Amino acid sequence: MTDVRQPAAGAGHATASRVRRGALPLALAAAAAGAATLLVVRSPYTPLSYGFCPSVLFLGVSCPGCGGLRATHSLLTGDLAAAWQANPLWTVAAPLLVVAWGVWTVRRLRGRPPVSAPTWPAWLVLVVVVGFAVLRNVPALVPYLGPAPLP
Amino acid sequence: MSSPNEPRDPGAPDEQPGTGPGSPDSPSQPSGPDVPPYPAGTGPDTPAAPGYGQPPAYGQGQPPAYGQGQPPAYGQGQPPAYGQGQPPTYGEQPTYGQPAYGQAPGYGAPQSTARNSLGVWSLVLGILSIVLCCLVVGIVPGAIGVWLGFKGRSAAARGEASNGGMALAGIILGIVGILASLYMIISLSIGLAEYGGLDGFLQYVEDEVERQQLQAP
Repeated sequence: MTDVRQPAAGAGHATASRVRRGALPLALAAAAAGAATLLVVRSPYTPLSYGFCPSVLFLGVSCPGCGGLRATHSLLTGDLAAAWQANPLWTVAAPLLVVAWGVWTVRRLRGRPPVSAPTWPAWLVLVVVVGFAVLRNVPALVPYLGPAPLP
Repeated sequence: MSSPNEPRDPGAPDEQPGTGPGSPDSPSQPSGPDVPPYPAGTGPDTPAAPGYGQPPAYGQGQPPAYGQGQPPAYGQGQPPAYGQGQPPTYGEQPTYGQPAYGQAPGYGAPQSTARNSLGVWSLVLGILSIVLCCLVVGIVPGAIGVWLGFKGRSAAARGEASNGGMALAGIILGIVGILASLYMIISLSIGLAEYGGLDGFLQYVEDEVERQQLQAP
């Protein structure tokens, strides 16, 4: 892509458009980094440090995101087992999201056309998340999929 | 093919789909193998069916290869592979889709399926934003779903996607998920007010935590 540009006339325009294209991914990365820093500094394992999950509070069921803050904290501090106990789905999904962000960002910066993936991963994500939401509320599977009880 | 039901007996349409396209009794259709996928939805109201006989001029089996082979090649996004794997007429994809399909009035807007994943992802993220509607968790997929939904709508308007309705559903569900997330936040805020500030509400929450952990040990 870059080799077809004129080196002298297109350099400034290319840099400007690259900055403009990279603003959204970098803003997302900054927000995620800020949230990650907050989660590392202020541990969600402290009871009620971030409130309480409303779906458990109001509905009595664990949503697929329950334990996500603790899992993120454990992932960032390198405790993979604790992250798995808090939220196994997020433990798997968070690194994949980071990889997806990287691919998306690189393609945006290089000016490639946006990824037009096949549609089956979307349906797979839907089935997995909804299935996870159902299964982690089955009493027999709570020790495996449910969030670990607050200490 | 243009009127399969009018001049025939009730027994005739049973054998008409099996023998019609391949048999020589219908010589008026020059594109016999291409007819069977289409007469179900568009046969009775397309008087310009011979106009659809143009795509075999580009090569046999053109519409299935256009619908199936296009998205993986586009998803890779490599311009050399995109140029090699496809016939050269695919290079100008929007201009191809409009004259070729536009001549058949029954097909409506000329639409490709190359960017249908936008609408699918929008719908899926909209559903997930409702499933994940506790606090800020639902806002993130909801916002991404709404964004992808608008991109999917514009792609459908340009003829690059055929699921504009699915993208619209994704936009609506994403907004519902965002509103549900905001409702959860507002509920917590009201709870804070009702139970006497932070301390009273935390006391209530702790009691609730103990009660629910006793229910599900």
